[in-house]
Amino acid sequence: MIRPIAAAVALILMLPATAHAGAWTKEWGAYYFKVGGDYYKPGAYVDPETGEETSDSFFGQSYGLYLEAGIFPLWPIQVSVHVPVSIGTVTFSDPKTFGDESARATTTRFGDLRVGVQGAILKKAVQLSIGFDVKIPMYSNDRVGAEFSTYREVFPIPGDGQIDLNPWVHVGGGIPDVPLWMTLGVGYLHRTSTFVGWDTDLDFVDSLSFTYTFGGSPGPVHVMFNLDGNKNFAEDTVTRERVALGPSFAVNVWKGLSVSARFQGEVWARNATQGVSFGFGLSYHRPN
Amino acid sequence: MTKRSFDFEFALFSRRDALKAGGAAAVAGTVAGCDALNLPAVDLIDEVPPITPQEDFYLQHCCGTPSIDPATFTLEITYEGEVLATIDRDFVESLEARTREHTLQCIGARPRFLFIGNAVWTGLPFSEVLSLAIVGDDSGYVVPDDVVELRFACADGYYENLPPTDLDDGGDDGTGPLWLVWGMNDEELSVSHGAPFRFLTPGRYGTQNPKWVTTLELAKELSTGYWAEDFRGSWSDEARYLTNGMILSPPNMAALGADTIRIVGSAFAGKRGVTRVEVTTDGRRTWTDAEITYQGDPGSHVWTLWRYDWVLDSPGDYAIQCRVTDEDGNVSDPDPAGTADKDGYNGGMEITVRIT
Repeated sequence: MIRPIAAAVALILMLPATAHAGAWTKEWGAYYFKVGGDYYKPGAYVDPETGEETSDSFFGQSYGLYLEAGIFPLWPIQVSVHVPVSIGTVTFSDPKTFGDESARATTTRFGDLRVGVQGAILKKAVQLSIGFDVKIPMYSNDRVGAEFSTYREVFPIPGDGQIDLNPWVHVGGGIPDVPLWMTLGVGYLHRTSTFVGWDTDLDFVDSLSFTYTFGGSPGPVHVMFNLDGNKNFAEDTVTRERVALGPSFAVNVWKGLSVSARFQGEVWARNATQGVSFGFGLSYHRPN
Repeated sequence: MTKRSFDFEFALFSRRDALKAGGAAAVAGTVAGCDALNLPAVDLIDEVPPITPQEDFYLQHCCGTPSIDPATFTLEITYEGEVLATIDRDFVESLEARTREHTLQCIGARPRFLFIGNAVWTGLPFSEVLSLAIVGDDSGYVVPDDVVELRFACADGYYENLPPTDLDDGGDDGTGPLWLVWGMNDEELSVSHGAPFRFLTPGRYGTQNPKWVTTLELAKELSTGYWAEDFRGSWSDEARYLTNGMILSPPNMAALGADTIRIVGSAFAGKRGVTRVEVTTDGRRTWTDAEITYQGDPGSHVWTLWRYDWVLDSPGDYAIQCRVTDEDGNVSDPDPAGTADKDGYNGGMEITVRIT
């Protein structure tokens, strides 16, 4: 039986959207470190078998560490690592057993480890860089809820359980004499169907992935508008595709130390319902 | 009845081992794999009522309950585009109805979805209704030879089909005769249960028992039912009842403190009578016969109810499973989740209880 993919995808979407460097690649000795929490609430919960909305609901939390560091002295090349802990809670009903009351099933796991490498191609007024990200599941979907007999299927799984490969191109730049900037990234998200800890016959399709940020930085405050998502190259019934947008803010409170917050709403989604997410973070940025 | 609420939490790492390794490891172990289930207080049932009250009878719709005025609702019988008869509430209430005890089970019934119920329905075999509505007397309406299916279109957008042979008693086939019913347990049928009338299809899961039917076409071509469509999961279009057993109390994951636990449940195989229900409390090593507490006449399409008073040996976590055998020798599948998937539930349900 197919496990709750809708919930799974909800969990893996909770990435710290403001954490990615965009087109600017870290120089040797520079680094960026962030701890943060993200929360996701879909508008409805869809039965993965019937595709029908149910009275069940889902709430996702993710807490993670994110690091970017320049690693090469002669040219800007950086590595990035994101290590999340995902907590997904499904609130469900079972009228024959519980009457009008609801029950809750919560899954807590390390989520998807993301490791990336990025190198600058052009570092003039216009920044151009290429990158390659790998997503590796740190959990076993086969073991989620395994101790719970007939309620096993209720437990949300932390993710799609497979290794993803995602090459990117990023371009960005600022407007001279004005504290405004933007960065645009376009990638090919290849879903390998190589599953870790999950015996499943699911098969996901590849996507075009994209991210766009337009920001202004008056003094210590950074105000940004973010848009990101993915569009599948083929139609299927399990691979979620979505477009999300929303604002984010960061304030430099002391030297390289910043606090940040973000909000995002999904304006379009397929193979899952739309939802909203918000997050906060505490970060430290050391320039080279 | 006893009410308890309970929480369960399982860590994939042994907490004892993790604690030996230090606090950080304990935290890491919990984070690496922790599932928690919080269930509300439940009622333990001593006995399942043989006749399910209308308000407790399960409801499962494709598209919500439509807005229906039973007084003006009509069902048209059509053939080759021509309306052969129109049936409304006044018409069916003018007929000399009979009663029929009959069990309904949802094709999606599973251990988490105990969608089964039994009621005494008031109505008539639909072949008799057809005769009275089309011919005008009880001499019988002969369905044209080129009709290959009865095609139902419903007010809520649902659609379904049955073979014309379901108008007759299918005999060994285990299906039929199709009934039209307008009363339930000596009460008027509520709108949520299909008022002013609905169909009962002996031998077939609830998907083939349509409600709020506005048009019944005597069709000359085969079609695909609502839930049998590929994009809705390709549920069985035949939807014949499979032999299965359900544990209705205690609920899965119940925490229990008594010395003796009464386990009650249902067994059902459609027209095939249930001859035996067994229970295991030791991981399928030994099976003990349960006591049959209610059963319909042979071939009656009525559920079997059973109970088993389990005398406990010692505290701990126990898996309890039932096994059902029908009169044809079919046995429910040992996989508690069932193995028939889109053909319906064919398992013997398993629950886990914690004895404290």
